[in-house]
Amino acid sequence: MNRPPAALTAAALLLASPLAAAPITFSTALPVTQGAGVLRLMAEHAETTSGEGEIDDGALQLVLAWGLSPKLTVFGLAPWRRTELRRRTPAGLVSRRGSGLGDVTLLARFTAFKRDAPGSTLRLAPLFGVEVPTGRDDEADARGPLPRPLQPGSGAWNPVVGLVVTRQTLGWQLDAAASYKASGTDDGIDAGDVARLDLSYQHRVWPRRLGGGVPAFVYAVIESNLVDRSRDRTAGRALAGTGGTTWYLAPGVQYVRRRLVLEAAVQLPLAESPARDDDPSLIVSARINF
Amino acid sequence: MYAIVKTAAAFLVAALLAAPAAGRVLRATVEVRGMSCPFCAFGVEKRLRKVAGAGGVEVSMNESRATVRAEDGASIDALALPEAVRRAGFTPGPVTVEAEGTVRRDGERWLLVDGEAILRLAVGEEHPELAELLAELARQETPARLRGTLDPAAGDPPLLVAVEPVAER
Repeated sequence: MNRPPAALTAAALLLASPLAAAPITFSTALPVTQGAGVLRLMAEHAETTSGEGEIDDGALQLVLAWGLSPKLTVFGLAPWRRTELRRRTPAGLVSRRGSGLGDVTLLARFTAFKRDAPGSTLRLAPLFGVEVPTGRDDEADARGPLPRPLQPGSGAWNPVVGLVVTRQTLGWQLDAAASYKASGTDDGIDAGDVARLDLSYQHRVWPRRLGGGVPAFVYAVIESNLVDRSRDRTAGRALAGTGGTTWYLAPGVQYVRRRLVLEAAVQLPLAESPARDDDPSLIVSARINF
Repeated sequence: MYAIVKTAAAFLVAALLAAPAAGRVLRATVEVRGMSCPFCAFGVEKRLRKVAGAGGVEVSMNESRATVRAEDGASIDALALPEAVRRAGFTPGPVTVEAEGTVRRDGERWLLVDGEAILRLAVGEEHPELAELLAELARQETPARLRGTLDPAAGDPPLLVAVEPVAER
């Protein structure tokens, strides 16, 4: 069994936070109003093929962001995952499935620098937090305990740090982020750490010319995600079939109103090392201001 | 007896001048720097609606500004607008207000008064025509509508600079 599709790893879910006209696959440095919140519901689906068989992975993620102060925003991320492994054997098709609440992530983001001007902003925000082992890691079926990639939870406390830079104007937005998740140990297995480099460009394609008031915007989005996962280790030995680096490109579209963002993207694995056979994953999401 | 009345009057004047709200501000526009998408505008609107006296808020994205209209019979606390913008996560720029009241002269100061709501009016020597206009309005004792920019460093009562009359609607 290899790792789960990288698009659905906790690190990917972790940084997909619910902010203004933000990137679809990771976070932004744009603010959340003090005393106001943003709710994001995000669905992601991917199918991959590995030596173990076909993996069908789906996740629903509920994200709540709350502005504690003009500079400090806290996030809570609760994923629900369903992962199925299908393998052809001489005895026929074998299917194993794990599902349930995954590990909840708590994050804080602090705006360390901002330069605002009429119609544009530049912001830099470090973020830090922890993935809490709320998801079960001992799920079993009739064949016994499920393999680790099918378990909804990691069973470990996983700290996360990151840095996001955002440049936004009325016509376009550029976000860049670097993040690192130090995975903990569970049942003697030290899961591989996850490092990410993300880049997103959003270009307003509608309305072509801005009139008065607050019109709805449509953005064309292109995102790049470079995800590197270290190999899992046990008793000092690296586990075969774990770890690797994947570069994704994710074209997408966003419809942005005052209170609502609707968005979708297809995350394409362009390069993988070691070679895998991941299919594109689909991400759809809605964000609501309240 | 005369001393008591004089002292009471002094206290009353002092209380009026220390009124926490800006004058009878009917409309206030604040520049919002850094607001660059519709989703961000929601937070600005939400914070501005909580300002005392605010009845409605209109945001203009391409002009980078938000306009607050007063509730019926109320006066907007224009001094609170910059803080509301800051709490929304953005940087406030100049605040322009339209206010209504009676022009009064208090020593060297020009005031726009409506009940307990007071605005100070900055009249520079370089604008003698404004001083003449205010003197005329003070003589008439009729309600006047003026527009000006809040001086953020002046404190209470709010001080309007770049004062000009608002054309008849």
